[in-house]
Amino acid sequence: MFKEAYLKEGGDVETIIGPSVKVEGDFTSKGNVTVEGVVHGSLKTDKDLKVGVGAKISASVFANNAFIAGEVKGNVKASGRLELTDTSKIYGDVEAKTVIMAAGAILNGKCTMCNDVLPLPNLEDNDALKKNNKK
Amino acid sequence: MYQYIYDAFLSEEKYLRPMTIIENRLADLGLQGRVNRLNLFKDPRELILEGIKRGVDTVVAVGNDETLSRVVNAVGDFDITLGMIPIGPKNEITKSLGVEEGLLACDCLSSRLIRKLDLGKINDIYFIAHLKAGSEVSLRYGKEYQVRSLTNNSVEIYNLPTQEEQADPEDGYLEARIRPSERNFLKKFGKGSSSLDGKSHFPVRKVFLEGNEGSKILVDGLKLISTPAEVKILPRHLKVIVGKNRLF
Repeated sequence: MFKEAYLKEGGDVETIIGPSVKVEGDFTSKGNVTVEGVVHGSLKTDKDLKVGVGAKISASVFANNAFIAGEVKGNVKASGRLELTDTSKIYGDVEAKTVIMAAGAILNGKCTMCNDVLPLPNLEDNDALKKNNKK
Repeated sequence: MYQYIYDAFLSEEKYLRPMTIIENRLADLGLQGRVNRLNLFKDPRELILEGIKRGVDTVVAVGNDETLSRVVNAVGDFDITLGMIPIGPKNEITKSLGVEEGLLACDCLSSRLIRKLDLGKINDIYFIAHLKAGSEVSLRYGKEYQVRSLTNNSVEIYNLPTQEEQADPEDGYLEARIRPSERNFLKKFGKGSSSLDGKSHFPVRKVFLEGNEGSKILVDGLKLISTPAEVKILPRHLKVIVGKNRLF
């Protein structure tokens, strides 16, 4: 369901971290982010995050909604929905308003769910962020 | 007042007749102006500066992408309008801008559909279309994050769109793309194909390109620049006469 909703907005995906690249550092965006590659550091977005099957993230992750099919070593915080597919592997704590977990998903960490919308941390100013502000 | 910057190759015999036809058409449209011819020893910037002193407000590059690139680099510092008349092969940039070859370019000039476009700058060199580099080149966004290639990729930064790549030269952003150099045909069309085609995409306003010693960046398909280089965008910096069939 989440996937469908995400794909509907696929036309305006702003940032794509492809399978052949590695991002190191504090990556921030205000638009949708798709990760198919490697991320080390931290990853924050005001909108939706999609982590592909082959993606490897060693970072703390903050997003509005998160759809995770790959591997995340670090804490994941979603202010809306967090969806873990059967291929997902999370080594860290997760926190979200709604959690959907498929059979086969691996979650090694604490799961916290609350009704209140979780505030995202202040995003640093960067290009992707500015572009989305403009839109 | 118009100033026409002719490329040196237009003095070849095969271009004499087409040029005569174009000049006649420009005269019919009342678009006559100063004519200067480029050669190895003439700096287009000096020619344009001289033209501006004499009242030129529109500079027209007559030739191919190479001519346009040289003229863009020269007009970047001035508040004038840029036009172009593409002639001969290698006119991909003008196609993106919707300017057709030959006589149609004269009509395009006459219609004066002017758009303020973003202009890219790499170190001290202006570029209008794109930058291309190899996988040894990485992108660094200030102190925040760095993007490196894990495989053999090409690193490309677009201001203008092409038939294959989308970009908006009026949004104030450059589009950085990193993609596998050798596309796997089977992956592209086979079952396991990714909808993203292995491509990475980052919108940037300012970025540093870093690489090994000797790493080069191709600017507008013409000039080679060594790394490291600072790339930034100058939003809505250049007034350009575009055609209705532009790609943006």
